[in-house]
Amino acid sequence: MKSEKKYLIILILLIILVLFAAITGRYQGIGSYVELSENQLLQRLIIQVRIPRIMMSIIVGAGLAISGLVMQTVFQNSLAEPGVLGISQAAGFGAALGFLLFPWTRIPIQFLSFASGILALLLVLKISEKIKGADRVSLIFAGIAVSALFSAGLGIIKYVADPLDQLPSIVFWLLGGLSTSSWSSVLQITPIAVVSIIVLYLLRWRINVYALNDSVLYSLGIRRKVEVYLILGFAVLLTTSIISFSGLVGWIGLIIPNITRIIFGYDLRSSLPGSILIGAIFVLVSDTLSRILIAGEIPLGIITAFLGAMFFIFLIIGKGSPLSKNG
Amino acid sequence: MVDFLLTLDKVSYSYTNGRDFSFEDVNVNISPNTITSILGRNGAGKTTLLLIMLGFLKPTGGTVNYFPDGINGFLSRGNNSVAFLPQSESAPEKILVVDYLLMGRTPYIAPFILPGNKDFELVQKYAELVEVDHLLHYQIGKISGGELQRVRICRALVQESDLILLDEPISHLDLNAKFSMMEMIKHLQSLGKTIIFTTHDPVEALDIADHALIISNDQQINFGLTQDVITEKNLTACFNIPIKISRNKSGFACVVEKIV
Repeated sequence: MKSEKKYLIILILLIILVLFAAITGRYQGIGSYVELSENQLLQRLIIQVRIPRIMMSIIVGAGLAISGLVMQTVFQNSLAEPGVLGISQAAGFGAALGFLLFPWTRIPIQFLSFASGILALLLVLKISEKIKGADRVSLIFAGIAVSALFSAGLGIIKYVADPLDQLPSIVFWLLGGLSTSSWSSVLQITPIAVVSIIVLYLLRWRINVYALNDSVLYSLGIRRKVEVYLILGFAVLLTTSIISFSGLVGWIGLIIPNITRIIFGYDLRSSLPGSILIGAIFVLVSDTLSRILIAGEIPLGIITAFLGAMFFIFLIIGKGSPLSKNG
Repeated sequence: MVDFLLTLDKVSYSYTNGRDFSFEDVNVNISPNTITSILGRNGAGKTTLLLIMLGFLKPTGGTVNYFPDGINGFLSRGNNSVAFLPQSESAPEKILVVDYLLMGRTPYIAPFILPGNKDFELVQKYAELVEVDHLLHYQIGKISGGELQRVRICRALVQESDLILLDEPISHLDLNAKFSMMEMIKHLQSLGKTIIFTTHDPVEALDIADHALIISNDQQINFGLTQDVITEKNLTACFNIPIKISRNKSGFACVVEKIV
């Protein structure tokens, strides 16, 4: 099947899911078109609550999937993604620090989360370079270490946070969720996310090329270090700006690129747009489940972790596993 | 017609981390449309010399010049680029051969642009030329070593640079693939390319190279016409064992080590 046809099918699926998510929820009572046009409370609910939340789901899914895909391609390692490399933990740490120090405003939260994300990336790169007899696993080891460092930092923040006021909000935020989405959060996150997504989208063919050896890249006129750092920088910006709002919604950057490659192949010209759609669908489904499954709300991070882990198990025991030698 | 395509002028190089070799006062002139072999033992610094010619490693002394532009340094755009095939390459195993070949067009494609029809046509054209067009829709990891080597050569052609550097292109192939790779290098020459390749097999140099550069056991470098440089004396100095050159009826040169 041609890629265009696949996009179309997946896009139609996404639109159907968006419509379904817009009319589904704990507030009962969409029976008919008449009701939708007469019930003003329902209209307000859809426009003010559900639509911004759907938009946030799409941005979170698309953004985390793309940064996972970009990192996996640049590092030639289908396990490399912000979560595994410790960047998500670092973003969590930065954002929690922001909560602690500047509880009244959100801008330092985004900034601190980006700064510690970049710090984590640099640490991982340095450590994995220093590992003797380095191979593809060394990046993962470095990621585990950096992730643990920032988790410890996060632990300290939780420990010193005000247990009545700050701690619950930090913990709730860390579990990951979109329940506080509103138009203002959409406006806050969209510019950074959309700009990063567009930049990475436009570079999608060139990112493929970074998989070649440094000396070959040099012969092709690419200064690898400069370009790769720039691109990873955008991927980190995308991840951290999303995490600073949504909390630690895990597994998307790991699972979605692997699923996308099975459907669209390994060239980013088709798999990057594909990962936007599939990431969006994954988070939209997870978020809709999180708000309709029980009377309260299950944090989104728990649902994505559950679904992600299930997919992951099928992936690693299946054919073409990312753990096998030629993954 | 320019006299030289690439010159190394009093080039010296030494590893800072105490690797056990260094070069001094290397002078090499590469004429257009010639084949040059770089011959030396394993670890003698053949690859280092090739990377200096590419410009990827900076010499600690002297200059590397590219002509006709006479640029000293980073060659980035279009025909000015130097095509390079490392000995082994981390080619992503699951991408398709056609997508891999398109990567050779990178010097012509600005960062935010995708390859276009013209790039596809060139890939198709060169794939037919080196007979890998039937492999275009296979994954890189699914083709044989000999086929991969042809595909990589094809990538160098797609890059359309005059100068092609090959690091041990023949060494690890079976006899059959070895022979067709030597033919291929001659074929590249007939297309007007200038080729420099490294090897540790003097036969390859004698068979196809116009010029040769031989690195002796004590890092002395000899450069000149193949018949002047690949001599029994130089080979003995290079490999540190007595070596004889002989020719059989079909004209192929072969090297026999003297058993004492």
